[in-house]
Amino acid sequence: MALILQRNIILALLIVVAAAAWTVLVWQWLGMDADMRMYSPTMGMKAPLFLAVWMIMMIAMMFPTAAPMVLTFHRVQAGKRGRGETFVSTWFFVAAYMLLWGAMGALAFAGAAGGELIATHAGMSAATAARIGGALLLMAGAYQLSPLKDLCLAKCRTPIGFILTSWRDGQWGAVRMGLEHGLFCLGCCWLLFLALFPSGS
Amino acid sequence: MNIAAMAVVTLLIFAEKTLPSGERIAKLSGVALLLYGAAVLVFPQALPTFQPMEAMVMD
Repeated sequence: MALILQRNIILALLIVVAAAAWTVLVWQWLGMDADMRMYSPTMGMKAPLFLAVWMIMMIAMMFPTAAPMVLTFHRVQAGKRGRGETFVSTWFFVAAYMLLWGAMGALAFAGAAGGELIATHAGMSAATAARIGGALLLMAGAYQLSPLKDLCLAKCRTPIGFILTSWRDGQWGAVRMGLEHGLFCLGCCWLLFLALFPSGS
Repeated sequence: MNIAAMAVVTLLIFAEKTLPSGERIAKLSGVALLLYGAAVLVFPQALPTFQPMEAMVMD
């Protein structure tokens, strides 16, 4: 199969999956009535449902932005295949990337459930809850200006650079690269993700 | 979930990563978040999820 065709298929798949995820989210949101939209950090969900929604959110938001990296990875692997060398399916890379985001989702659920527990026990007022949300927004803003964010963003912005400096052969190499790239992506946006909790109900 | 906020953050992340001026966009968004966060600290009503519990208690 010609490289350009493979490239288009992968890109189309990423876009279709992301579009499907957005459709689910909008459809869900339209189906909620006013008091279900009430704010709570876990959105009233148990862990499996929370994780499922988290992954759908992650796919909707991250697949379009991860596409250049995935395509660059595939181009290198396709080159190896063309030369008759061993190659690894691009999906190893994508699966590892998603695994890392799933782990972050589990952490987010733990944090949200813990926060909820404290809030109900302490009988927190709405104004205090909103101020905690404001503090989270401040943290997200400060992080955007931090050197760590600069470092992660620089890695995320240049797929070629990442391929050149962090390439690893084999299936486990692909998994490791997926995890590593996921970590830099997470480093770029984890606080932006968390800042969605106060603004979202 | 707030679909509008999610869409804005998605666009922001996409712009940061792919546009030539992505790094500058990241800084600008940081300043905007700081301003918004400070506004919420002073006026909690500025957050779309603010629930005026006190009003309900008075009923």
